[in-house]
Amino acid sequence: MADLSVEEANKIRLSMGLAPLPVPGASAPSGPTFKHANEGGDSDDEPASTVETRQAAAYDNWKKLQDEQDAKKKREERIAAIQKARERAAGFAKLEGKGLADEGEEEDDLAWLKNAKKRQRKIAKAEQMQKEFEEQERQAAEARQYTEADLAGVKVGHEVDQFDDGEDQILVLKDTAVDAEDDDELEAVALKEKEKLQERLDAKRRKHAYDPNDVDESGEKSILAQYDEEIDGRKKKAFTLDGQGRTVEELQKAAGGIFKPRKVAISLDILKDDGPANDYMDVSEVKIKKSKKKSKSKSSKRKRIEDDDDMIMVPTDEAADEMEIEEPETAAQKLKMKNLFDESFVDDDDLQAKLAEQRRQAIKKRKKMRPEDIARQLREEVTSTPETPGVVESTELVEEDAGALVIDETTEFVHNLGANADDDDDEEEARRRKRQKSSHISNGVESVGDMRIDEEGDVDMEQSYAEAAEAEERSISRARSIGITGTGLEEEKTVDQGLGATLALLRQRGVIENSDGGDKNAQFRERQKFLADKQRAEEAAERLRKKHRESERHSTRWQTMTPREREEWARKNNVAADQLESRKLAEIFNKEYKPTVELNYTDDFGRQLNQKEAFKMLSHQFHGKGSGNTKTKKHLDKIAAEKRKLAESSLEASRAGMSSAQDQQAKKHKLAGVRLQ
Amino acid sequence: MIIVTVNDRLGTKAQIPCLASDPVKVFKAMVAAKIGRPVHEIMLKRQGERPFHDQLSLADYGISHGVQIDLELNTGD
Repeated sequence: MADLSVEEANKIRLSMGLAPLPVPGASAPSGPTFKHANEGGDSDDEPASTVETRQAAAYDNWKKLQDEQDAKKKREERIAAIQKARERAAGFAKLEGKGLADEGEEEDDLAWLKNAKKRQRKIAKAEQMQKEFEEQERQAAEARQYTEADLAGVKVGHEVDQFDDGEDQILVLKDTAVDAEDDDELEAVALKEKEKLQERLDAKRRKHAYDPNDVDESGEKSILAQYDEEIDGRKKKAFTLDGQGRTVEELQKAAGGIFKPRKVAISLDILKDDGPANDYMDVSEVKIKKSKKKSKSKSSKRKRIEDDDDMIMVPTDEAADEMEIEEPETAAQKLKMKNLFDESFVDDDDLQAKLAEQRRQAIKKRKKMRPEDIARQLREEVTSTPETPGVVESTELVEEDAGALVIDETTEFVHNLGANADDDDDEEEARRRKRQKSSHISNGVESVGDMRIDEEGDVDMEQSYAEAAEAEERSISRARSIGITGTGLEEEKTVDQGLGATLALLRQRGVIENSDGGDKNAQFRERQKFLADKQRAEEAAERLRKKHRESERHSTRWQTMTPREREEWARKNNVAADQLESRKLAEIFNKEYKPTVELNYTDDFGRQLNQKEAFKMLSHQFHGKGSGNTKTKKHLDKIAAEKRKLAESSLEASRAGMSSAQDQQAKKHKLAGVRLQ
Repeated sequence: MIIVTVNDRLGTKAQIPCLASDPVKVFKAMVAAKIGRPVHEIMLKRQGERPFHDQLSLADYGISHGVQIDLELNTGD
């Protein structure tokens, strides 16, 4: 069975102090065996040290626990019962004594009814008593009024003169600690705040030890007064009410009879008179003569100038006056001038002169315009077509009348818009003019352009050069704005009108630059000419050679020559002819051939590359590696954008609104940008 | 009484009679007596488990009759 025999094992166990193993066969103990008495003692030493003892103890333990729990439960129940009983007893204790029903004397219902009246009377009496008492209290309260007398001895935390007369101030009790010793003090919230503000301002300002302007009204002088506050603490301004409309301090002062010498205010004005006379005039003394007379004189001056035909510049300043002293002047004029000068002594004379001149010129201009307009109006009435719009006339008048020209974004835009209307009226004029022309044979005048022509075919000489120029300009502007539509933008060309229109469309889009087409054409022609010349020269040479050969063949010498000689001869001739021909061609080449060298690079998409792009491409090819991912993507995006741009209309508003189209237009016409928004 | 087999799988295999309540320490002493190796060099463990502690009993490790315990060399670490 086991390798280790039980006997050996038992030996070991015994040596280790353990119970021996039961030997199966040998010694079955005879008779009942008892446990050793001391076994319990052993187990007492170390209870529950083995599984068996623990297992044996388990039930006991459980039992014990259960018993304890039961006992506890019972105890608690008992305590609760006691508590309950006690509470119930206490509740009944409250109910002890006489109840309502028990209170009255032991009498029957009849007696109780008889007594009811008496009881009622008693209650009414009590109520009345109560009422009377309240009334008395109220009367007492009314009688007691709160008067000045009640305020006697109350301190007020302000100076008396801080309260302005005729202004109601509300005083409240000052906040103090509950356990503070000092008496109640009244203070006005508004005044307190004002004081605080003043204090803060003073603190901000630097304090001077010596302030000569600070006169101490009280007359009390102390040495180094600026430190008083630090030594004695802040002086408290307060007075006490005495209940009779005066302050305690006042009374004390009156009682004390402290008289101070009254200070007499001495005016120092007398000293002023002796002061030295001032070199400068005081501002208050200066009188500026006001304008009425001046303006009148000015208007008169203007009138005089208007009367003048020769428009002499009328001098207004003294210098000019002296300069033109040789010119004959009437005494009256001089006097006027003098007046003017005298009046405007305050102003800048130069400025005055400048302004006067400007005004004069403006008036002159207006004067000059006036008869013209009238003349035009008359003319138009004579030649008038019924649909001549008077509006245009009036607008023009307004335009010319306006002294100043204001250019801003709005006017620019309106001008652009108005180009359309202008156009209309220009066309109108053109029509009118044509009619006039058709009625009169006046081809010669046409070269003059827009000179006005009378009914009689006379050129209107009254029309000034300025107007002629203006008309010319208008015609130019009309030519430019001929394609401008109602939106103020050009109509886009369509492809269905032909090659020219297509070209125009492409040009509008900026696909084709407005290149030097003439130059290219000339170059092409030259080249063609050169080729033709060359061919002609070659043909001529060939013809010449043929003729030469034929003549040779007919010659006697040719007949006599052997074939070998003939061959030799022909060869020699050919060489000579070739030389001649090539020389001639070289001459032509030198003289006329002008190669046009154009390096065109295209990328994978067939786009023309410019110099930079071409360089980049070549560089990439040379180095064998291209751009990175992002750069390539960017490039592709750019190409896609270009394609999209080509595909959409130039007036496409979807992308960036009107402004993009307008920008494009403006760029094309070389105008300053126009913004709608 | 239970009989426990101790095997080191290297050719040493012994059967030890003992009680389940025996401490591992005593069991080791009996194993030592059987296989002729000092007690401190003997490490006992059930297969795939941690070695037995001397203070616990065989019953704590759930060892009953006929169980085989692995025997290893205890190097002291």
